[in-house]
Amino acid sequence: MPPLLSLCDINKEFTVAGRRQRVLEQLNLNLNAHSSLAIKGDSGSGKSTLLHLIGGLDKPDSGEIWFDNNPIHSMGDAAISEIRRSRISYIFQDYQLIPTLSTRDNIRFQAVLSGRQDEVFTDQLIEQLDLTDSLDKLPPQLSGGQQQRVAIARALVHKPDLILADEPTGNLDNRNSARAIDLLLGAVKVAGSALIMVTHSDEMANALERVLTLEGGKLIDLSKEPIQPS
Amino acid sequence: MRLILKTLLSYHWRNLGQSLFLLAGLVSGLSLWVAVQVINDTANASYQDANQLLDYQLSHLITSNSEQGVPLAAYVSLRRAGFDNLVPVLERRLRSEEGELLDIVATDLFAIGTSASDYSGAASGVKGGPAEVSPKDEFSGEAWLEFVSPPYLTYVPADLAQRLGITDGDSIITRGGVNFPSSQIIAGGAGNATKLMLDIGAAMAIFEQDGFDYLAVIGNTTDVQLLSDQLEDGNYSSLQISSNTQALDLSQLTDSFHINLTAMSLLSLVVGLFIIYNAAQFSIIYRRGSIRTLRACGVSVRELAVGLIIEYLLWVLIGTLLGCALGFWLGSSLLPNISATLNGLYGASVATGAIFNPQWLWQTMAIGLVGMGLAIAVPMWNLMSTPAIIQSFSASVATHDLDYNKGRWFSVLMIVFLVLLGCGLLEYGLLESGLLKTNQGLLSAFGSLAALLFAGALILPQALSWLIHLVSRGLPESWYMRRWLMSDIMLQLPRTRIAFMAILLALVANIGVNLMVSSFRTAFTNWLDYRLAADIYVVGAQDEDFFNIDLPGVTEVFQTAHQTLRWQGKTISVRGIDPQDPSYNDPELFSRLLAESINTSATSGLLQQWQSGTGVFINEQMRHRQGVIPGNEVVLTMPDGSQSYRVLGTVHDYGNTQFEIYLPSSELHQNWPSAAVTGVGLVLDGSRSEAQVIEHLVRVGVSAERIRSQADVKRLASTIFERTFLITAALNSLTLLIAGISMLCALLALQIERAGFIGNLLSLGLRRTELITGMLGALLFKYIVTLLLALPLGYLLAWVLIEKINILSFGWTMPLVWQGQAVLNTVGIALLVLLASSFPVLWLLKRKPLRHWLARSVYSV
Repeated sequence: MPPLLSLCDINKEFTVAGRRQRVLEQLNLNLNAHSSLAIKGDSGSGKSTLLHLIGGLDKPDSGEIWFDNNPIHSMGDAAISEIRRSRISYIFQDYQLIPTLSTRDNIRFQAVLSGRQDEVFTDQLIEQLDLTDSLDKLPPQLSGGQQQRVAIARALVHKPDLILADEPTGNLDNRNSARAIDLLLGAVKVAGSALIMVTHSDEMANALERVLTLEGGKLIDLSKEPIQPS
Repeated sequence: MRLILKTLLSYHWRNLGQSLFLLAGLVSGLSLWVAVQVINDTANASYQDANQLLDYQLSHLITSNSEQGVPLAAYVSLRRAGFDNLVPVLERRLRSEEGELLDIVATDLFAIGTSASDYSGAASGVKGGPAEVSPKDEFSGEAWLEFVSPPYLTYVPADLAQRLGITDGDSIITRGGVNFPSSQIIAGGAGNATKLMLDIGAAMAIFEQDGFDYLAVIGNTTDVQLLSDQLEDGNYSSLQISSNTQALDLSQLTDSFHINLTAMSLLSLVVGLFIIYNAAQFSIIYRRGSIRTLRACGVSVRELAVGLIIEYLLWVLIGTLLGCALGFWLGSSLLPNISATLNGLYGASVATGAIFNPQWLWQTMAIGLVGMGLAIAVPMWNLMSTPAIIQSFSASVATHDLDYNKGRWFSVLMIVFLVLLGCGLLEYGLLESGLLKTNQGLLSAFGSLAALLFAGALILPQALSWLIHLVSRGLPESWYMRRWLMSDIMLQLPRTRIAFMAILLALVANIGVNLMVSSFRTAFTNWLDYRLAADIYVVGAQDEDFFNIDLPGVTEVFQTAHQTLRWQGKTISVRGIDPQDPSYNDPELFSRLLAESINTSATSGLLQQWQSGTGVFINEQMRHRQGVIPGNEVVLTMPDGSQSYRVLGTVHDYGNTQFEIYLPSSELHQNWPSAAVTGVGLVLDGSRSEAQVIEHLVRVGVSAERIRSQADVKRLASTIFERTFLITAALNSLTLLIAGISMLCALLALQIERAGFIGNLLSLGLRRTELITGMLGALLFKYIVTLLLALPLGYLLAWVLIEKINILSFGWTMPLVWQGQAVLNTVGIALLVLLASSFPVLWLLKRKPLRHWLARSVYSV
């Protein structure tokens, strides 16, 4: 069975203060459907950049990104947007909810956009994430933990194939972080999605099936050798 | 798409206050444009009315050279000769007891009926005969009979009746005691909607006239040549036939006035566009986070762009409807004032009831679309051309600053181009000033002004940036806070520069126009003092009338007379000046009236030449609008040939738009025996007051209606003057207000964008008062730089207005007087507007708790 996601020889550079800086170098990665992967690394190592490339929010300088036989690296904006609206979801550290929509509308937004409205599943998610009492509130009226749970619900409501979580608990305290991760993993399991999560926390990383570290522009399995190209 | 649109629009729903700014920008900019269209279109419709009698087109007019007008006998004779399309007309302009100007037109409805039956151009339903003479209901049946039979009726159009505050049955009384027949309100139609209508018989009795002002030729079927021959054969040598060009004349005469208004509305529109620009950008900046989220959720760039375009189309639609409604109200409110101004300046009757033209909706929408398009073009282009992930961070202040620096060369090139264009157009306009192409010259002058103003606006951010760098470098290392403040001003510049450009334009417009108006006021007031040498004027009297009257307190009586001629296709007035008139007798006094002459050093010699009848003086209108200069010869037609006169000089003639030539009255009467005497001037010796002499004149039988005291004339002239510039001042003030809204918009956007930064500064321990002081300091610094640029530009604007546009518009010249008070007023008001616009932002800074600033940072990145 081919992998759901495949990254081959990915290179990415940025210009910082007039100097070119290589962030990702000949990076390779495979991920199967329904699996989970944690990516660790120092600040500025390129973790977020990697997630942006996978979701088509940015383009690699070279290399290929395949998502279920779709060449993300060469697709046009409309085609990538189509994949993103129905098959790949993001969860950001700063939640990125739409401040002018209520909790209910924020959650339903992705479902309507993808055309996959499952009211039973949506209610189940809302209950599971303990958002029933917050449905009519606007994001600025919610606590950080509540906002992150809304972001998780929005990311899962249409049962995407892949969830990209960028330090999803970075803004939460330990208790809320642990709760959010429990809820996220539980919901991901119910939705049947694959998960890539960027995190600094060993505890959270270890809760996932696989842990890789981004170092020198490459993904390294610290327990083994660097991953070879597929 | 509905979902995307709903999400985008939810921003406006949740932020009604901010959305109101967007709407305010759109509506204020567009409504001023509509208001001026209301005024211009209504005025043009009224000018067309001048060519009509009731609803009938007047093709030609038969007028008389004699003071008695067209004799009744000539009219009867012509009708008997088969010219049934002739209608007698009497027109008068009087003031009501309340001071309202009344235009009266009197005609013979029966004659109209029989005339109209013969020509195909008449309105439908006209068959001939009194009962069917007109398509208007009020002219049929018994109502018609009451109108033409004693005690007669006065027909008053509804619009005019409302202005005069009269109802059916009321009787209008003039200042001179003329009592009109009882009024009947009629529907204000197209033709003559601004005039009172009387039967010709009633008017002849009221005004004690034996003849008519003119005979109107209705329709186009009359053989003009045949009629002309008949006039000659019938020994009516004093009668002449000419085509009716009243509407054309009025249109040409008032064209510059309307162009001025349009230019002012365009300036307001441009400043309004600044608000639209700021508000539209603000709405995109505020939603950057949401836009990023939408993109992350799978909304494509195209969908996002379409959503935003639909959203802004909705805004334009709402703005257009509200702008049209507000503009129509504003135009209607200003119309009575404009009508009075046009009446005073040009003698044009303009209806005070505004007409609505559906075309404005489309025009306004087109302008709104262009404005909105300009406002959102750059953010939309960024949206379309930048990868999704960059969008959320690209609008950071630092990136904007970088972009701004990138665009510097483009700005410099634009400035150079605009300055060259402005100077080129100005040079072209100056070359044109001596020619007849008035509007071409005007357009080039306005074009040059627009180019120079925009160049100035583009210079502003460059000048600010340069000065901030200069001041920053000059600050000692130890002045840490001040150095930080300067760097902060630099950071804020990209967000506030557009708003300061709007303030600059508003300041320049206000300074320039105020300087022009104050210069004009000085020149005009002085001129009135020199020109109005007599203390009392009696209109329509001859000095012979006063020979046998004992006039205690009067030391001199002098006569004024005039003859209307056609010269180079234009109507001109040749005025006979009494040698006793002190203005043309006293060299010292005359030198104040003289604008230029063939020999400026010897005014007395010049006056001697003039009094000998070898030369003439012309007014400035002829000098500047017809290009006649001292030393030129003017050939004037007389009843028995023509004569050439040398132009000795030009005299100031403020408030007059007609072309005039001045001759000694003896010369006038000798060459034009039928010249009409316009009146006499009485100079008092000081032994009796003006009021006493006027009372005496009335007692000896002079109609009070015909008496004007010098004070009255000055008051009327000053009223017309103030009215003329009231509209300009109103539009200018609105422009400043719009600039203030633009500034408020920019400051709010900046504050929201910098909320996190402000939160950080407060967290670091910076006091709110320090932040507020810093912000005010930054505003004042930018205001002072803006002002330093606005002062020379304002002076330049005043210079172009006086030396170019004013001459082309009115034909007047005057010295540009730098009046500190006028400038200080503008500077002070602009500063108040700036402070008022910053107040909400400062208030938020003072009141909102720290958590507000820190929380807002989450949604503003």
